Amino acid sequence: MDWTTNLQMLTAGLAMGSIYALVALGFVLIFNAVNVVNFAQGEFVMVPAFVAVWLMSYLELPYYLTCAATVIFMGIFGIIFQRIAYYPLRHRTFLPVVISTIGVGIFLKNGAQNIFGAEPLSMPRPTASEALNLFGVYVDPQYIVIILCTLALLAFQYFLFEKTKLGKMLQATAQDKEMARLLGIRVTIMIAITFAYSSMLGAAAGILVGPIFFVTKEMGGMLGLKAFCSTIVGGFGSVPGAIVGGVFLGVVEVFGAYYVSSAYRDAFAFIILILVLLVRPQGFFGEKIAEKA
Amino acid sequence: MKKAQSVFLVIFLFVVGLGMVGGSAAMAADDIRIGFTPPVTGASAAEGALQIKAIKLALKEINAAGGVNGKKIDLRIVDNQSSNPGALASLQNAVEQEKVLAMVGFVKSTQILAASDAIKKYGIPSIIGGTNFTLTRQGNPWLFRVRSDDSIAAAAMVKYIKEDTKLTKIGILHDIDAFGTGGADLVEQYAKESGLTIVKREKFSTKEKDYTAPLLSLKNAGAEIMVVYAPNAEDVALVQRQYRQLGSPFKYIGSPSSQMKDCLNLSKEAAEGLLAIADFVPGQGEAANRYAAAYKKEYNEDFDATSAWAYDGLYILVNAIKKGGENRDKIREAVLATKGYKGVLGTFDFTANGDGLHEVSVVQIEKSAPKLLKIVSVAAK
Amino acid sequence: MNINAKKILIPACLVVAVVLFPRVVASSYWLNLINLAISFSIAAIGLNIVLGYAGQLSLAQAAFWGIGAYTSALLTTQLGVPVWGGMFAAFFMSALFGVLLGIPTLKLSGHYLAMATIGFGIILQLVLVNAIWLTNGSDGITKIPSPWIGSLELDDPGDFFYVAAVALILFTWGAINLKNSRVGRAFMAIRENEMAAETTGVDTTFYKIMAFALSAGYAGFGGWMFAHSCSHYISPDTFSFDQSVMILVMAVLGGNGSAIGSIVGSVLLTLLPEVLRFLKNYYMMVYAAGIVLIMIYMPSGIAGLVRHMRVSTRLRTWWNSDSTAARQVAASSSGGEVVSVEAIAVTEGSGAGEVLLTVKGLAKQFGGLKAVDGVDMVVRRGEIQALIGPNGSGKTTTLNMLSGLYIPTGGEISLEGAAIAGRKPHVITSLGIARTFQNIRLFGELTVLDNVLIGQQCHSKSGLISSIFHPPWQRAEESAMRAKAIGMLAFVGLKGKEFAQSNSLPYGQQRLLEMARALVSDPKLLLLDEPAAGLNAAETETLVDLLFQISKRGITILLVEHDMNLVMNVSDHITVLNFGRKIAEGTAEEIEKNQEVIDAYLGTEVGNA
Repeated sequence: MDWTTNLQMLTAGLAMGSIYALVALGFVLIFNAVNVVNFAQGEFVMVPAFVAVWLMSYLELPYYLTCAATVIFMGIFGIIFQRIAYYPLRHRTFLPVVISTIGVGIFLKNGAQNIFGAEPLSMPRPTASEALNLFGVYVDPQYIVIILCTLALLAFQYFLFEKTKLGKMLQATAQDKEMARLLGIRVTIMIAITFAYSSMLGAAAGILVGPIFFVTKEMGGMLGLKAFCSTIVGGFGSVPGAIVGGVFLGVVEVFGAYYVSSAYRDAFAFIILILVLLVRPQGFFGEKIAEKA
Repeated sequence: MKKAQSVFLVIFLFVVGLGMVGGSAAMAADDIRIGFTPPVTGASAAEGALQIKAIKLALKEINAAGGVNGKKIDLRIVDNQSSNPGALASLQNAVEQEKVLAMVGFVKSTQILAASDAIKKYGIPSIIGGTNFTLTRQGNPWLFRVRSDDSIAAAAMVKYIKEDTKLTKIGILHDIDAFGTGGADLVEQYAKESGLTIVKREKFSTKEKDYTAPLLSLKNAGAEIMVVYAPNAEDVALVQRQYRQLGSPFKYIGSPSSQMKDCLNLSKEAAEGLLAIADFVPGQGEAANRYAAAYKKEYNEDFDATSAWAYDGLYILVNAIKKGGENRDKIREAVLATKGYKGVLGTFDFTANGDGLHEVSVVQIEKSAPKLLKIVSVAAK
Repeated sequence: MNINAKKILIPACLVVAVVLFPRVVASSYWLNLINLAISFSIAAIGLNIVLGYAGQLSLAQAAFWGIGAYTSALLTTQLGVPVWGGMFAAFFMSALFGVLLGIPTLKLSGHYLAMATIGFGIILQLVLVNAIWLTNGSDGITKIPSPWIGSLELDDPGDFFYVAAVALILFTWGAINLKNSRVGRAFMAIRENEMAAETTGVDTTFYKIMAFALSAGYAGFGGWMFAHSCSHYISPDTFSFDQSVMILVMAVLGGNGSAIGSIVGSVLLTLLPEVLRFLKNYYMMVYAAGIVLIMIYMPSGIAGLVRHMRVSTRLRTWWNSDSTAARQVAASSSGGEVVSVEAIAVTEGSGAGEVLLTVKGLAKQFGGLKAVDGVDMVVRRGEIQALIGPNGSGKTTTLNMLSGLYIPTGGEISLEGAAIAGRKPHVITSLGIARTFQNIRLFGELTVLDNVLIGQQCHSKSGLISSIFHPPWQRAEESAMRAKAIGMLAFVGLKGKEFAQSNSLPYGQQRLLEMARALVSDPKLLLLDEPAAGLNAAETETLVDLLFQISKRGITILLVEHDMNLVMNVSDHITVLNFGRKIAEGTAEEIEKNQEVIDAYLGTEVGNA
């Protein structure tokens, strides 16, 4: 039980956890706004990753310009996505929407393959690829970038949602659409903005994680599912819950892989999910909502 | 709403009708049809694309040289959808719909097993690229393997570790799929027979992203060299990267995916100096060099070693057709009688159970390209 | 064509089709695909049962399919068990796992349930890969034997087809029968409105587990078929989450809730990749786009599409014109009148005035909020008692505790001397308390008749086996239930509306329907939560009449109401609550004059309802 190994794994866990947290955040925002579980959230990370690689490798745009362009692209993408996958089904029950988002996810996966080819692609790194050696622990500099950027995004989001009028309107729409509409809030636009923002979070995740993981059409799949687990573990509908849940799962996974079994690594997220659902379904931070009789 | 539904239905029926009618294209009486069932869609699509390039190069050359007695080879590509039911369907489609004479088939052992019964029932000669040891020992006389099976790769690894690196403590990191587990089992077996120690065996699921835990585990168990047995370029490239980032705590030798083109494109500098087993490497023979040059000329990119079996496979099959005529039994005999054929992957000497190749190369990565260190042959078992 | 000819028509057509099919389609390629499609169909029909009928989203169907395949493959290859034995093992092992999955996930619904089932599927696949000692791991299991019939080995896909087709027909027939039976109705009640199902007498826990188990069993059987045909080989990578998604799409494409639709969906999705090979790598995109378009434009799937076509409506009318239900309804409407009175048992004169329900010190606390804070009350047999008070005084909470929806945090409730506080709603219903809801909770998509049939859940006996096989005694029970339901509908004034979809009724009639559903369980005590809410003057008068009629037949009524005219008019006894406590009780005259009540609730001008 040596400290270096544990610290090493903790670093990896925190980094993975931050990615889960970012994707989970995108989930929660959409769910809060329109009560939809977006099974294509993982693809929201995959698509911008491909776009960014293409911009950097083929058009040879500089890094920061690529980031900006990708984020803007995903904003527009989010609006189109909600128009196709959500808007026509907005009055239905949850099942058609779930299936519709699954369908869009499959479409995006295979579309990416047809456009960008089947081979995995490497995203140019903004950071050096040699690991830093901090107190005996090797840290990929990109991990530090991921953690810092996630914190920055969280701060930005807190500011946006709590301190600006737009943020308040978004929150109002999420909590009670009818009422928001009656108060003069343009609900349709708020929903579009929510989807756009969630997609832009996906862009951030894709750009941050692309350099360390390579860009393939499958990269979104398990990521999306585990991020979904994170939101439930943290408390479905709770923004801080999504973050905490994501980081928690990331860390537990790594330690589970080392101390218990690396083959069952993927199972840990789901085992924790099931345990949480059984013991405390509202997760860490969620609220128990009783059905009114 | 109703109108939209009817329009939708009409379009749907039209497309389906188109598919059924357009099913199999016209047959030119003078062509010899050979089927090929790569993964065009699904999880293995990347490998499938490379296999198609390899086999098409062979096809072009063979037809340019006159085909078989003046008859052209008509290659029918049927997607196996990267799944077991898909593999069976693709094989049956090729035989019954496309009416092929012989097959160049699958790589994944699970797919080969899925189609094996049908191949036996049809009695159709099938070239396979799967390396699982048991595939040619299942009692199916119609499978012909044009790659060295895993026992040869594993034996080569262990031999090289023992004789050339002189290290004795081995850690194994492998994918839990059939390929990874099979290879790891063989490495473990041969290592023990050679008196080497396996300090630990760690597994991971295909498409795993973070290898910190297993790498640290092997390090803490005292491994001097790590064997990486896994099929996916993407996963192995990540292993290489993260291994470097953890300070390269031991030496590294990998299965063929560790030196395949897709992997090296991804891991870049991280792969420098690593050891791997390769199906072939330029410099190991004249056929290999020719292939590398022709590939570059045709596709304007570097060849990929792990898909080259499809090139050799088509050649061997066509040569057998030349010898045996358009008779499946005779083709079968002709393939098995192939001795001393100098293909890209090496010299082919078929044994009675259908294994054609018994050698692999040990390579070292230099400037993102594999460099030949040694060719290891293992006597056919 | 008379009814007997109709009964033979479909089986005859099926026999002919099944026998001829492998002769006509002689290709092993297509037959293997059809067998594969049938294997998926059975799994999809199973999913239909748990999702389409019972409304629980399970994304683990491929896992159960896999459990069935592996169970039988291991038994037959390792232990030499005959393939038919493996078949039963596959079904029951999968059903067992269905129970194991169903139990912990009972409290979950919607997305949570979906996620839990996804987790289960992924964990199971990992176990299949890693438990090498048991499953042979990633290498899979080879040389899985074919079934034998006598001395004939069914290893040719054309021969196996017979087994597959017969199985498919039986499983489909079972699923269709199930829909029109007590268990099937219980499933659909849970789907439509779980809370109302529970208070109507459906043991939702039990039936949810049953739905899971049955659905898993179906999938397991499908897995058995897959293992012993096609490749005679299985490996873990086939049983993935993506496969579960595909089975879901098959069921939904076919039409959620339609067994035949599931077959169509499965056949389509198995054969389409073959037919559309010319699309090459665009196939998956077309498939995915198709899914989205179908969700938008064809939400009821192919079954829904077919249902709307005029040809099929005419076919269905012709086919159903002799159905037992239709004949019963026709008979009653032409025959007429007296049936209605027999609908409710008359218990007049038996112990009127005795204490029926006692409530002592009843309390319910939500966190810091004391919704009900120590209430004592007594309801006497045969009376109409009203529970009134300002909003938030605890009336509905009290009603919810009486009907079992809430567990009291303090106090006792006894019905005819038996303690019922904290017992499950369906148990309380079977003991004799029925209720209606403030916001109407009908089983909206179901017919009026079905709603009232579900009301008889407590007093009918047909279980799973009889619901699938429809033996004569079950059919007799159904007939009797239908007769009673028709009578009850006439009693409340909904004669002629039997086959209307319940959420298509106007508001006032929906209230009557809810009442009928509650009454048909022969309750001793009827709890009504604001029955007059939203009714106009004429409808309220009808309600008053109805209340008196019900009371005349000996049923005790406890109602929560804000309409003071109504309350003063019908009540024998009134209890008044305020801030969770009883502040007064007595007759209408006494309450009208009670100062505390006036201050708290009535105001100075009585009659302002």
